Amino acid sequence: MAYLELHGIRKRFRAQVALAELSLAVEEGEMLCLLGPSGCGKTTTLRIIAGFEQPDAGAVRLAGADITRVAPQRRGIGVVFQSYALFPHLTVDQNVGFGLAMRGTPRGEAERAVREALRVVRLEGVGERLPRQLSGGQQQRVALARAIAIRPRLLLLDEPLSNLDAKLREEMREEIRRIQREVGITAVFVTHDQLEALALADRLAVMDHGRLVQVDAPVAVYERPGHPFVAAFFGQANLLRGTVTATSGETVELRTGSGLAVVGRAAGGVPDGAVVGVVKHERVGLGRARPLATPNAFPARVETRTYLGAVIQYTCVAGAERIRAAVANAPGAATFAPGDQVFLSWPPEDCLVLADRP
Amino acid sequence: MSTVAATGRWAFLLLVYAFVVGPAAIIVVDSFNSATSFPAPFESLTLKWYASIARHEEFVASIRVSTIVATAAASIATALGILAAYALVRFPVAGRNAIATFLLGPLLVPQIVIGLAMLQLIELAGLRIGLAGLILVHAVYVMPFALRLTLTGLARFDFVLEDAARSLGASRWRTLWHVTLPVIRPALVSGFVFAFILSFVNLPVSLFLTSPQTATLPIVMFAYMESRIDPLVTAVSSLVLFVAVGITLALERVFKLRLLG
Repeated sequence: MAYLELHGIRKRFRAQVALAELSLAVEEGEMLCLLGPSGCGKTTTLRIIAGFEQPDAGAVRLAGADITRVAPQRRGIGVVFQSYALFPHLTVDQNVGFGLAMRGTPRGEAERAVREALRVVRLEGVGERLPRQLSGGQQQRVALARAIAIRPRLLLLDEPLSNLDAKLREEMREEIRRIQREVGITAVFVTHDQLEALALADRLAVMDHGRLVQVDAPVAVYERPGHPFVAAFFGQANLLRGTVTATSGETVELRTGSGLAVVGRAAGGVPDGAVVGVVKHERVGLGRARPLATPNAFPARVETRTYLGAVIQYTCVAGAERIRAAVANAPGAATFAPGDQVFLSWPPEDCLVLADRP
Repeated sequence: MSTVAATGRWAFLLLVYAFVVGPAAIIVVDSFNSATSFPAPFESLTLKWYASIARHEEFVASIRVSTIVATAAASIATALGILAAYALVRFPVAGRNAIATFLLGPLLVPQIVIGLAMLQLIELAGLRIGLAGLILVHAVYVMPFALRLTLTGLARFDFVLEDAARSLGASRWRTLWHVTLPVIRPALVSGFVFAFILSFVNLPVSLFLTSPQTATLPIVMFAYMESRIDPLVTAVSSLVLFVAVGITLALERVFKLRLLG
């Protein structure tokens, strides 16, 4: 039995279905990331685990006990909020010590726990200050310290990095990972940022329209999306919609609506009917001569060229398909200009063929 | 150009202040005037009117009554205002706009009507109105002000703070006590101060409801001026003014509020 389990959770807000039959298991010590676009139900899931919302049906189990109807203050779950939700009238020490004060922890013990929590988040010497006298990054650390000071059984993080600037976000991302490992706590992290999810999670749970679409390790989700939505959500991928025309083992040939014949590979059973070929931008090769080694070679015209520093992104038109290629910006690499005639190519194993589902 | 505009702004400000504070300033000046009638041209500086307040027992007693009534009424109004405002903002009560309008109702009823209606009600019920009754009537009258300000405070309150407190182990009540109320304290203090002042200076609501033992300051001043007009009332008024301004300034200091604009 997993440490945290959600069984058939259903939740609607008036006519709107927020969660439809969601089941999820999180192992002890694991960092699981709920990822999805806004409105997909990931925050609702987190609020149900915390006890701020009641599910219409289903059960939440933590460490073997059913906590579905337990009040949030009795769950012992630490929460870090997107807005940090620091108490503005209390000092940093009082904020971090709030949970301990509510538990009636003896003063000396509470003071030690507050010091320890602030040491873990590497924020010392600001105990007497008020939240508004701290920078965004510091407030974030206080919020983390406050959540871990109660020695929670589970840590929930709701988009904790979205209010920080890019540089600080990366730094805090590493910090959250370090702290979670150092404290050895099970954590559920909500975000809409794919990179954040890939960098932080032991496992990713991709959500869409109140359902789990794919739950797997970050590498698996990124390299082998199980659903066109996952491939599209991670972006950086061309989705070629069509129908299967021939199969041989795992190799599949599909024809797109505009007549492009693409060879790809299907993992785990060859789908029939409508399919999607997924080709990541960085796997698309671009050249002036027709490549001979691959069946996937298509004449195309460069439409736009976007310089992104590390890579140069080309949008090309092949027949009626618009295909993107991200080419590493290496010294001496060929560059192309809008209007150039080129050949697009990729090996069959870089085109994953999935059943096309809505 | 900008100096002309600046001068114009200052002139405008002065006019506004003259309009608002001017009459009160005349009262204060007259309270230090040794002339025995009022109003009268200024003769010489004196503190005798202030000294004579102490010899008029009815004034001393009524200041005491008014202080008790205003403190108790403002406390009751603030407590009820908090409960009503919290329920209105936090819980999806059916018809909450109608309830809010109803609770703010006493603002729309002329005060003299409230006083008369209460007198009627008490007569019908065969009750005797004492100090407690007077306090309750004042509480009803000032409640909308306390409610209004609490609603304003809660409108700007981030309820995620309550989720945070709950997750840290605080029950609903402890969350309210340790987080919500302290955070909206400026609104609560302003509400209390307004309620206190409105009760303290109120004449029409008390008019039919006081006995010689429960006569409030405005009632006693009104009765005194019916028989004669001398600078004693200006001294009493000024004293009230000084104390009110003093308390307000002190509250601004302690709670870091802006009560006086």
